[in-house]
Amino acid sequence: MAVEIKVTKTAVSRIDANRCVNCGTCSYYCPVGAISERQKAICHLCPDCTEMNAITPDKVIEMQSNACTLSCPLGLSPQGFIGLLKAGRDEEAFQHLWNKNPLPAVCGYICHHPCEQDCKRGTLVDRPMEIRAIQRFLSEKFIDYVPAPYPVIYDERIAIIGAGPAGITAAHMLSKKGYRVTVFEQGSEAGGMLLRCLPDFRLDKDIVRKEISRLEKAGIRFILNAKLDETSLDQLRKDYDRIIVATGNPVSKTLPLPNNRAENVWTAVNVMERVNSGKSVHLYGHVVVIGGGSVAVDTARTAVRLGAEKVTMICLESGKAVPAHQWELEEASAEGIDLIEGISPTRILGTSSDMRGVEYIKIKNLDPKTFHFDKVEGSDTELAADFVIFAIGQKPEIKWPRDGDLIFAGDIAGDQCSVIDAMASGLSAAISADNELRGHKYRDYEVERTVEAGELEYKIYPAMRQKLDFEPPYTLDAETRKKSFETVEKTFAPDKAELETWRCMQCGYHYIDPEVCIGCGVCMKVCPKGDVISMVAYPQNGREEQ
Amino acid sequence: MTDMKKRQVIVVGGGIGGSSAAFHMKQLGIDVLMLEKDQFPRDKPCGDGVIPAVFPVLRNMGVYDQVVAEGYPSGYIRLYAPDDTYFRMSNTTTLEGEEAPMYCIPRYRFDDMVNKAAVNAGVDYLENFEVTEILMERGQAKGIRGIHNGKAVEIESDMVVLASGSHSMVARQMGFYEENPDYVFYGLRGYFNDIEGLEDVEFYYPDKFLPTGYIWLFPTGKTSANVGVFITESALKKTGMTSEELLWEWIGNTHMGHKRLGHAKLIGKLKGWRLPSGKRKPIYAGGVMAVGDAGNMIEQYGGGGIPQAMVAGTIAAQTAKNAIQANDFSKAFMKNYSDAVDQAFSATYIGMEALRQYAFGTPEQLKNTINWMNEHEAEDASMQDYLFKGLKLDPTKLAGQMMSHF
Repeated sequence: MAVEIKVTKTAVSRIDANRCVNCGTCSYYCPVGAISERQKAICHLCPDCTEMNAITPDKVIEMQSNACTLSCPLGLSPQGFIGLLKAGRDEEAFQHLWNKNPLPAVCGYICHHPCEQDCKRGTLVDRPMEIRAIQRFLSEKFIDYVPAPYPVIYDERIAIIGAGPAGITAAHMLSKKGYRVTVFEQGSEAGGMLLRCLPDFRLDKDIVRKEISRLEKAGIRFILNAKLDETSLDQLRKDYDRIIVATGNPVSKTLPLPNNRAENVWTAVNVMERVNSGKSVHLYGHVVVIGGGSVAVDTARTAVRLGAEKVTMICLESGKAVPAHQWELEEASAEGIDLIEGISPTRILGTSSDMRGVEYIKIKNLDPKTFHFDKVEGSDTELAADFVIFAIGQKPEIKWPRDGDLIFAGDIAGDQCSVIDAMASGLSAAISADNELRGHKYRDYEVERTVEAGELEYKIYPAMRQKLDFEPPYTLDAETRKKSFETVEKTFAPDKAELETWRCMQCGYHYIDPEVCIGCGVCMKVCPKGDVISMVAYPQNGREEQ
Repeated sequence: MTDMKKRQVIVVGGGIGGSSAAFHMKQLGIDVLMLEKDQFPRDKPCGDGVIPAVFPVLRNMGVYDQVVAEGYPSGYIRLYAPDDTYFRMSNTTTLEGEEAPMYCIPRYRFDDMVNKAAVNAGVDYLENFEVTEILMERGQAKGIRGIHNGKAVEIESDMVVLASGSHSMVARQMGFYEENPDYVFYGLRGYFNDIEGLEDVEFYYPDKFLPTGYIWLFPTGKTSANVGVFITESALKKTGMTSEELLWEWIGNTHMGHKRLGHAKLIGKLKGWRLPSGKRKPIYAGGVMAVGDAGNMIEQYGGGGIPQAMVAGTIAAQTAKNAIQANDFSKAFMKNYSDAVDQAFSATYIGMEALRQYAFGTPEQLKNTINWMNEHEAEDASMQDYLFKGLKLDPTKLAGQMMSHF
């Protein structure tokens, strides 16, 4: 006999939009997907409200579809940890970072911060929030934080080859889900390119080591000096259920130019590795770096510190197409580095005993995808140089079989080369391994997220926020930094970091759909801020009556 | 050096509303601290018209003579229908037996005079102090938190007067904030030179601005005027333009706009401001009173806000005095403030609401209004006469309808 049971919903959860910091924890844990993110409208209808031009009411509403929370490839909510820090919940703020990012302090040093590009304060008021600097402050404050050990829920074991940012992220995410993870590293230390190639003036290596040791303490097994290649796969398949390959692109590419093996012709990886391993490298005279990306900039800036009297970068691209970030180029230019754009090197002039420089030709009609271009005839120019360094990208060392069961992550999986993109790729690899093993389509809003336009009653007015203009973190002046490998950007002092949190306009909040909510109260328990969510009688809907 | 000790009252905002409140509190012997996020003198986009309703307060604060000396008087107003017909009416009020006109005086000057009057009366005062939060305990204000010269500061007090203006985040925290796009206006102001044939205050009502919005010209001299746009957020949204574009379009593309300002020169930049109107939201909480724009006190048709802010300041001062005597800073006691403000202004708001709905809502209404006023010019008819005699609205019924939100 069938019995019909009718359950009456008596209470639902409700979020106080004025208190919510938009960290998204509740929406992650909500069992029925009732919680979604909303972005407040930012009024900019008056012409003199801020430095930027006035916009129409329609444009105000249109801008509600952008958010800092959408731009982090790892799915961090900058507004979330800034809001928690502002509310005095420092530890919860750090935990928000740790939950989604195994290397929060490293990212605090070197992430190219796409979130800051999307910060609406930057678009509508004055300049973006110092999101990266706040993350760095927070992660350094908790650098010795001992996290809870990863849970062991599943029997499946996962092997990750390569302990760079991508491999570490995949390991962290899978360990958090409850798998047993082993990371194989061919070097004597985990950290990959972070330790090998990033210059000291951008990233303090102790920070990398401390963060990796934290991961070890939480339960990730690192096997060092493990030189694996395609021949090791059969054994790995026996011992592990899934294999993630994140071996990166450790070898610098060079151009097939005449004389490219001369003694004073180096590669970026080569120079950076030598410097980072403490070997003495002495440069003098004029150093030409071939390449226009972030690695080229790092190498050029390293060359300045190694004693070069003059450093010039030359690259194919020109104008906005130059791959390095604008702020990187500005910092390099402040250190006296020249950039010659829109050219292609044709010849290395001279020999090992007599290095004379490099010859290049102007180019036009560069195809950004295939790198095909037309030469400008008769524009050959000789550039005198004492050293030439190739920084035109890297390639993998080992040829892994591409059409099998291997999951690829990081540089080896695609053409994106920033640290945060490599980490995001590690996250995707972790999600796909988990999906395959568990046989379900995991809700991957950790990566893909959307925002809705919030109600107009929560509008933000930049006029009131305009006055809050604090100093950005201290950076060394160009003359001092040319002489040493000291980190250029300094960490916020605690009081400065707290003040900076006031600049956040708190553009977003989460909203619980009372029709979908089942009133289980999980969101209330997991809310890291604690004063945001309450239970209200159903069908009471919307905000409190005044 | 003003110290951060506990005060009886903290006034947030050193504009005309806050200064009036702080000045009158000081006169009543209250220990009051006034906090200002900006530095005076500072500009504020406004029509700059100081009307006789506020003169008694100005006299009391000792700035009336200065306003008369520096302001430019206008005795008449012209309301233009879209078809170029207009109605001219007196803009003077009898005050202590004298006919007092409206004075146009830049807010950059006026607000500074009022602010200095409060400071000179001995009010403790800090600039560059941005109040970010009212500290509440059991529904009762216990002080404020803010940022002063780049440092976070907390100051205790028994009461807080919010005079922090139309964008006030703190007022929003308290739930005082008006968000109804029909009652939130956007103002735009510019000073123009070389205007021909300027005699009176002029109001224009292009169709796009209706209901209730307008373009104003307030003479600041024989050939110069403060010109502005006053439009609700909902009407602005319908136009799909910014308020700046609306003004230039009126000047460039309409017969009247071109005639009036086509050859005039803009001095400086156009500035805008948000103008919440109608006092439809609560303006009090435990230990908290909101004054002026922070309490949405702008008239929802006329757009005036100076008298409301300054008179509400005096009422807040008296309420604070009474509260200190009764040692009662509860929400229930603060309601006395709101009631007194209603008593002082409900007639104004009711009249304004009626004008919005029945006299200036559509182009037809506008035409009828101006025709009727011209027909009855000989009787010296007022806008109230049009509402009650012309449209035959029942005053008691009207008040009943409109009062519902107070």
